[in-house]
Amino acid sequence: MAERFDAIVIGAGQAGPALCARLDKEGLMTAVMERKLLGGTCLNVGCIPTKTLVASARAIHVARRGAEYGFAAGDIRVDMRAVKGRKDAVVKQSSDGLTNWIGGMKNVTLVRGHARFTGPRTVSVGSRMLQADKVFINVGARALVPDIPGVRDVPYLTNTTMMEVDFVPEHLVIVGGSYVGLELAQMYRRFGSKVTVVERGPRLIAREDDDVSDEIRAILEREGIEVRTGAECMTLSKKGDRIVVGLECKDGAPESRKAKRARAASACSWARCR
Amino acid sequence: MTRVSRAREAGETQGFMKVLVDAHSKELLGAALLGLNADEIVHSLLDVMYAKKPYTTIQRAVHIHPTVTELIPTLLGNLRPLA
Repeated sequence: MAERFDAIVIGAGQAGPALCARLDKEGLMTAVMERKLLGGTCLNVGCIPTKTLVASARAIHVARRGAEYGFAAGDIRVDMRAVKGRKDAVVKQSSDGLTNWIGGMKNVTLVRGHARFTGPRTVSVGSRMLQADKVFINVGARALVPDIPGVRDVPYLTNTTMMEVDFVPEHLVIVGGSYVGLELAQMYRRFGSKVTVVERGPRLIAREDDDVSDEIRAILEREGIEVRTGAECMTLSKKGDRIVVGLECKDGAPESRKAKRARAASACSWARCR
Repeated sequence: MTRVSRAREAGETQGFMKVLVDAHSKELLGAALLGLNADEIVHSLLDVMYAKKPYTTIQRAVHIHPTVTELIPTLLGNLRPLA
């Protein structure tokens, strides 16, 4: 026997709770389903944590430029565990706020678990069956892992798993030179990693105008980030404890960049724009 | 951004700003802002677009000095035809 609601919202990402608040205000009995984390990508592994990390990276960058501003901060040492700790605390603050917000909606019930449609207006979560005239799908996005030869043979990170990194990799190779990839590139360069950005297209951030792409590339290169564009036939393989990214660029001979693994994690990140 | 006094003062002169407007309707079609605090400054243009007003609405606006945003009216006062 299905439990009856006026509305079902599948997914408690950033749009879900706002929609629930509206439904709650209208007095509609609402069930919101979430299988993992309240707040979804934005709050947990997207906008909020990345901008928190960017703030740390920028502070480090400015400290390193101390001499330009008339001070010496000495040897800048980055404590990545503390950087991640700060990020986790900011995320938790938002997450707690969201939990309280949803908890305070008197017509809204949070149902934990994976939602599945069992009919046009019926959704199951575990052993529960819920029914409503209005069903809203708000299921968000996942990182895309491109089908590069060798991708299954090497450990890699995505923009999501990057948020769990609590050390500074010796060398980070980022596959994908658009918004997310470049943000991670600049951030980790400032944290102290050697960073190489590998992009299939002829230029970075193809969505932007040529002059913007060029200037961004120049800014990143001035910070010591290595950029390889036109990398059309990438391959991935392992060599000892290193991951090798093979590049067969349009012009010039095939070349490879070696990324030394730091601890267990790899040095690759797949990133798509948000 | 080397023309922006606040960017020079901050020691952050990398990047540039550009806008594209329709010569006839004077509507803002788009902009690219790359540089210090550009993610905030861009809203001075976005709001004009949302209001569906011509760029001339803020061309003589007196933005606070010294800020990066103060160069937006100057930028709008120096438009050139494309090619």
